[in-house]
Amino acid sequence: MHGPGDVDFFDRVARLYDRLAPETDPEPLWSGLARADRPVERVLDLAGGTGRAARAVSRPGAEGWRPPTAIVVDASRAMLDRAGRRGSAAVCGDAGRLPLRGNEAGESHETNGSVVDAVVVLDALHHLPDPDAALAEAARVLRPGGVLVIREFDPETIRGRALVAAERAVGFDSTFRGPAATADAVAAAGLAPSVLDRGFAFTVVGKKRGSH
Amino acid sequence: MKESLMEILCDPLDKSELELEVEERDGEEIIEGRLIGTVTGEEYPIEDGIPNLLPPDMRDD
Repeated sequence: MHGPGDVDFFDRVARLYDRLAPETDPEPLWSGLARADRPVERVLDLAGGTGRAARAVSRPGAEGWRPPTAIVVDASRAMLDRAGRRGSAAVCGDAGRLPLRGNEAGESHETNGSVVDAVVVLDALHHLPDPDAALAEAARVLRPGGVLVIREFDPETIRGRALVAAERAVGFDSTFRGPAATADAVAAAGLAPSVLDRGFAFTVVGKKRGSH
Repeated sequence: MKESLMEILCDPLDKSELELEVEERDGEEIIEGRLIGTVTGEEYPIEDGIPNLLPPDMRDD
């Protein structure tokens, strides 16, 4: 259930990763964060690797955008070293068993309140050994009115099919889900889902109910 | 890690509080030390500024 997934691979390629991976387009992430019903001051970059999403949302760009602080959680220490060197708070952890406070059943908000206004999962959900546990954890640490923003690849598109084949060829355990299945999984985690955009890369947002 | 990060961290096993033991710091920044689960007693190292809060079954050491 909580195996290493693709962590060993990322430990080996960390030094090359940012040179080979395409530059992150911040627009879909910003559009997702704009769905929040609360000020977005702290963002969790979940399974964030070298912190590409953290840097994308922290970049000054959109009009009137006050960049949030970002915290990167990843199971690969080598990827995190690179995130830490670039100024993100970096924590080694399992996406399915997050070391972050949240809303625990039966505990008061004063002693154990949820701690982030947004969770971003960029091109990473398909690498996790237990994606549904990660979504449940994202829902737990989100404050009411906060949003989970998932950016993923659609395995049903032509480029998506090629990507699925390529990742299998290099030995990944990847499990890709399309926008509808991802939205269903977000709903199962207790968040209100919506599909923001579709295509080879798609964006699904899940909002935590309640207001701040 | 910045000491202020303690406000949001918890034990991954049962989400209980952690206790910080500092071995080396640079101002607000904790360079070396460890985090100890106040309920589980589990020890999580802070190495070169990064806390390792992977559950024990996912750690190499």
